[in-house]
Amino acid sequence: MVTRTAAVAATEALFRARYSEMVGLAGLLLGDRGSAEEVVQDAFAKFHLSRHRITDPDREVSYLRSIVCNLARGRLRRRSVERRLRPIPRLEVAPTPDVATERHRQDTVAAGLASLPRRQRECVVLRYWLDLSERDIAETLGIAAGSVKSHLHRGLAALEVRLEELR
Amino acid sequence: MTGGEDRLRRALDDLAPRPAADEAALGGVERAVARRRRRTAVARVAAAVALVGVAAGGAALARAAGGDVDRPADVATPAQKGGGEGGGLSTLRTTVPGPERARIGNATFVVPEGWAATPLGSGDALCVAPVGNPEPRWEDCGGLAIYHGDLPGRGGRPYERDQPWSFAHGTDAPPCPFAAPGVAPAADVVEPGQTGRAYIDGGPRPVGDRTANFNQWFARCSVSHRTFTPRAWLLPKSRILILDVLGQPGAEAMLASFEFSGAGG
Repeated sequence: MVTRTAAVAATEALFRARYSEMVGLAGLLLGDRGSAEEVVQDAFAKFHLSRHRITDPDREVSYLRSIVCNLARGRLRRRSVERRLRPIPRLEVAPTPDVATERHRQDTVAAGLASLPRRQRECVVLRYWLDLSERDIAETLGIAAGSVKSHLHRGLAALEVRLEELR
Repeated sequence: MTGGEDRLRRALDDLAPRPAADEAALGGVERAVARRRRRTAVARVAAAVALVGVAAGGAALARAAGGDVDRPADVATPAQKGGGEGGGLSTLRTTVPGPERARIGNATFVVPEGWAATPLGSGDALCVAPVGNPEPRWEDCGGLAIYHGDLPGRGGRPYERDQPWSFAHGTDAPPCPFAAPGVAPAADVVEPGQTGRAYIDGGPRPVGDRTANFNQWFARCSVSHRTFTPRAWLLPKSRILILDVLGQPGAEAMLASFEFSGAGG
């Protein structure tokens, strides 16, 4: 019988609560669900092995988010240019007109997101998908709050052009 | 909040994948924990061996540290011991300890069961061969020779891809690796076959998730007429050269197990 330590229980609880959200974050950054799941599983592993360094339990999620962003950045760096942003797998059946419209909408958004510079994409996803404050984004990415504001402004302006097409 | 921001929120919400935090995903985390622990354990062993080598001033030990060695059998990772910091997610389930991995340069690879990775020569190199390094051997290695850093080529020159006989590092005709009955080893030497010294196959080949420059040559022993087709995989960015001179059956599986950290290829 294996003793279930507090650290293991805490990591597993965090996994149950945040896995889906973290894969969503990595998926939007990488444009690929499979890679996103790999990155997030590795992020939880890294988190678990270094959680003794976290002195403030309230910062655990923020720390995990930073790991996910860092590992996703590393994954993007390693990808060759042609494989950089693979589409998220779609339905394999022939689409109905409604489904086709929805797919076109998702593809347009995904392409818009993929076209953003890395930092803009990270700021946009953290702000508009995770609803983080500019201060929290700055902490997650390790950059100045002023830089976050600037990245968000530019990223949103670029994406709005694409979103207008879908109105 | 602007309409544009609203639309963006909805669009991202639609786009983001949301897989369940199920047992399969948790299994992926456990495997990732084990992988990270293995890497740490191998690095620690290498660092410890390097320290001993420096302290003792022993050249052989220093070479071992430089080339990195396989984890000794009595060095278990915290996960295998079921202890260590946090206990490890893998302690929650019944898991099979992963295979032994050795490290060279920025790469690790699986050492096949019943084989061992041992330091080779005076540089940063490993011989990965069946335990005991049995005959036949090529340049003291009865398996795959893996070099890192300064990569040896024909006649003591640096390794060059697509060149004649880059697998033979001496300046003289090398002795035949296969013992011929009644023939003095010095008399049976390796000579180029009818196809000459040029390589017989080449091009890009996978090593782990990287692409290597591959070459294969034809060689024949002068007296016994035994033939063999040495193979080499060159990863120029990682500065790793893998030589399989005698044609080990498990070479492909080992090459497929290579994992690299950082940029390279």
